[in-house]
This record gives sequence, C-alpha cells and structure tokens, in this order.
Amino acid sequence: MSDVQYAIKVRNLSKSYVKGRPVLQDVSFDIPAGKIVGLLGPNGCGKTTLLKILSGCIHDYKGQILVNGAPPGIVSKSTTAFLPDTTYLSDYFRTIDAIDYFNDFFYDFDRVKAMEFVQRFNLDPKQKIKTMSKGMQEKVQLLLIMSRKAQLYLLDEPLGGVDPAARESILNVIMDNYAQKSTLLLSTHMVNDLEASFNHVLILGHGRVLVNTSMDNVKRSGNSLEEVFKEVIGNDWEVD
Amino acid sequence: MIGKLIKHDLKDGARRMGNIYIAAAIAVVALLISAFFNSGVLKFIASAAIIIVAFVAVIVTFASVVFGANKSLFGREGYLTHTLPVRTGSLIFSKWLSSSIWVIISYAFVVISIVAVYVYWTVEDQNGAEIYDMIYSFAQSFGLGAETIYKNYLIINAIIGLFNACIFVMFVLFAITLSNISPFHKLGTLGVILYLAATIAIIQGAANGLASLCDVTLVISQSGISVTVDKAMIEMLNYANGVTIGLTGVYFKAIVTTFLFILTVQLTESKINLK
Repeated sequence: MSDVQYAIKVRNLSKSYVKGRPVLQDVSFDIPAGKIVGLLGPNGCGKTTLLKILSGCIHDYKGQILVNGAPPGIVSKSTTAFLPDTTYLSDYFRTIDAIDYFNDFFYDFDRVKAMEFVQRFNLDPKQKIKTMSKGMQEKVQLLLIMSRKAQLYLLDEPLGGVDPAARESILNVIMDNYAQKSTLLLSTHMVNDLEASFNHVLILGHGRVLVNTSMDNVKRSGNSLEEVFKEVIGNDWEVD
Repeated sequence: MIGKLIKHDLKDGARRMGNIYIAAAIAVVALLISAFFNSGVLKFIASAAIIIVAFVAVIVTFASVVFGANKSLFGREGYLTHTLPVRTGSLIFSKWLSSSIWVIISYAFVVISIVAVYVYWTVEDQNGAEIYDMIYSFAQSFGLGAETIYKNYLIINAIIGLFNACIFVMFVLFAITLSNISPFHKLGTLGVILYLAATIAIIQGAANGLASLCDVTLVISQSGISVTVDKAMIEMLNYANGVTIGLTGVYFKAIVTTFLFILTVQLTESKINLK
C-alpha cells in the first residue's frame, strides 16, 4: 500500500525525439493514489512517451518526476508494473521462463496467481513465445503484469487490436486483479468501453495536459467522457 | 540481484547459441565413432565438421553478443530489462560478464578443436609421453627453450587472451550503446561496426604509442618471472632464450575498459530512449 498521496507527480516535463518537434511540452500534473485513471488523447499526443518515461524506459527528458514518491529508478521500478504496447519478452522464453524471470526480480510477484492465469488462458507453460500468436503473447504479458501486487500499473493500450469479446475478458482480468488501493494508469482510445471503469481522467493533446480531473467532475458537467474528449481535442481526435 | 541477472543472461546466451554447441557435440561423437570403426572417410568428415563448427561458433557467438545486447538493452526486450528494479551498472556488468564468458568459451572451443584434431591425425599411434615431447619440440621451434619457460609463457598468454576477450566485449557494448543514442544512432547497425572499429583503432594506437614511451615488460626466464622497463636487460634475456611479453598495453587497456564501462553506464542512464 502506498503512503504517498499522489501516485505520480510531474513538473515541467518536456520530451522531444527530434529537435524542434516536442512530444511533451512543459507538462505538469498530479495523479492521486488509488485511482483508475484513463490516459486519453489522439495518436501522437505523447501518451506512450509519458508511460515510457514514468516506467523508466526513457531517461532522456527534461523536468521532474516522482513515481510513488520516488524519481524513476530502482525504488519506483520495484513498485511499478508496466505493460507496453509491444511484445517485450525474448523469443527464446517459454511462458514458464517468463514467470520464473518475474518471480526472480519482483518481490511483489505472485507465482501461484500467474500459474492460475496460465490455466485460465489455456496457455501451454512450455510453449515458446516466438511460436505464439500475437493474442497469446499479449495474454502472457498481461498475466505477468497482473500477477504483481504493484502500487502503480502503467498499461499502454491493453485493449488495442483486440476483438470485442476478448476486450471484455481482458478488461475483466485487469479490473479484477489489480492490487486494491493501487493506482492504474491506462492509455486507450476506447473511451466508450472504459468510461464506467475510470474514476479519474487525464487527456493529453498537442503535447500538453488538456484535462486532469475526476470522473465525478466529468459527470457533473452533464457530458459523457467522449463528449468532453471531442470538445477539448477539437477536430484532432480519433476514437475507435 | 546481480547474481540473478548474470544467471538469466547466461541462460539467454545458452538459448541463443545452444544449437551450435549441440552440433559441435555431434561432430565430436562422430570423430570418436570414426576412431572406433577406423573409418577414414568418417574421420575426415568429422574432423572437418569440428573445425568448421568451431569457427562458426565464434561468428555465432559474436553475432549473438551484438544482437542479444542490442535487443535486450535497446530493442523491444529493453521494456523488460529497463523496468527491472536493478542498477544500470548491474545490467551492463551482467551483459559484459555473461557475453565475455560465451566469447571465451567459443575461443577455447576453437583452440581445443584445432589441437584435438591435430593430435588425432598426427599422433594416433603414439603414447602420452610422445605427444608431450612433440608439443615441447613444437614450442622450442618458437624459441621457447626450457620447459618452465614455455609453461609460464602459455599460462600468462592464456590469461592475457582471456583479458583481451573481456575488453573486446566491453568495446562491443560501448559501440552498441553509442549506436543507440542521439546523435550517433543515425548510422544504425552499420554504426556498431564503425564505432567498434574506431574504438579498437584508437585504443590500440594509443596503447602502442604508450608502449614506445614506457615499455613495461614481463620477462620469463630460467630464473623466474619479473617485470622490467630496462631495454638492455630485455635484449639480454632474449638472447638467453628467455621470452618477454609487453604489459604497457595490457595496463592501458584495463584502465580504458574501466572508463568505457563507466561511460557506457552513464550514457545508458542519461540517454536511453526506447522506441
């Protein structure tokens, strides 16, 4: 359980891959601890970059960041579970190897729970990752992340490219298994599918924070999240 | 954690390179079978296979070190590597140590294969003492007079060989790191080769230059092993069937490799940009 009031504190964060074309421009925001937060925004608005910075996969940025009260580093990584939008496991890994790997490095990893997921997802623990379909690979990665009792979960498009039936199943796995009182920051384009799950929302656009508020405030405005999204993004939005 | 990192990196290497060593084991078994059945054709094929596999193992190991490190530190596997709760220095050290071990294994495999095949073809009817005499005569042809001298010479050269393999791996890791950070990343994979070649050329050139200024030399003679910078003494010992090994370059490379390790860690820590 986190003692910190904010799971994420970001001050004056700027990041550009190409000089003169910033992805994030002087971004500042706080994410309260213990919330399910929707990270929304059009393609290229900096959602993935933000998650990579928070997880420690990008170090080349300007600004200050605190994740669970610590700057990105060993302490924050030990309490943060990151699910990127790409396959990150070695081709030579089998599911069981990946589970043993996580079990070795993350003190909050629950191996029993991971093996239950393997059965639930009908995965062969001895099958190599490289022989799996993309959907199976995503399941393995999801079970690894959701078998951790992390303080902060960073999920980058966990529902991207998944058919509607599997989408509901994956969403249930996430919502049923993330450690209670922890924070879940989930980037998505599926505004309608996830609106009911969120209790906080962060909308990025043009490299800046456009909205950072609770879902209660969104509801009080009388608009749906999609309507708020369209309003702040203008013609620049894409919702699946 | 460092122990776990090394364990997993060694395992990863075994998974990447396992097939080549299985092929080597099959070739060795074939060679033993050829001896049992006294089959000349099988003996030739198995011998050739061992030598070919040994050299392929070096190439595969080198490629595996380059692509494996690139993928796990800067490619998609980096999303796992860089989210582990470990120090960047531990990550680089683990990659360096495990890669060095695999490179040393591949080099040792080449040397042992050549010696084994040579012995198998030339001295199959001779006993152990004759084989020893033969190797001794072979050593004498290189000016290694006394038995103690060539033994020490071989041991020290083997240690320097291991050391060189380790520093080579550090050069490779540095070149890979450089080719993945702005502005050096623009050359892509070609950059790894260019930066590696440049690193080796600069450091070897500097080591040679330093040796010409101050030649610290290890002297192996009948009276034992000593270190000297006295050129007159070195020449005198060379005439007296002693042997010498230059140490200036070794010391210099040890210092530079330590510096490159620190630089690689710093660059990874401050400049990493997983795509």
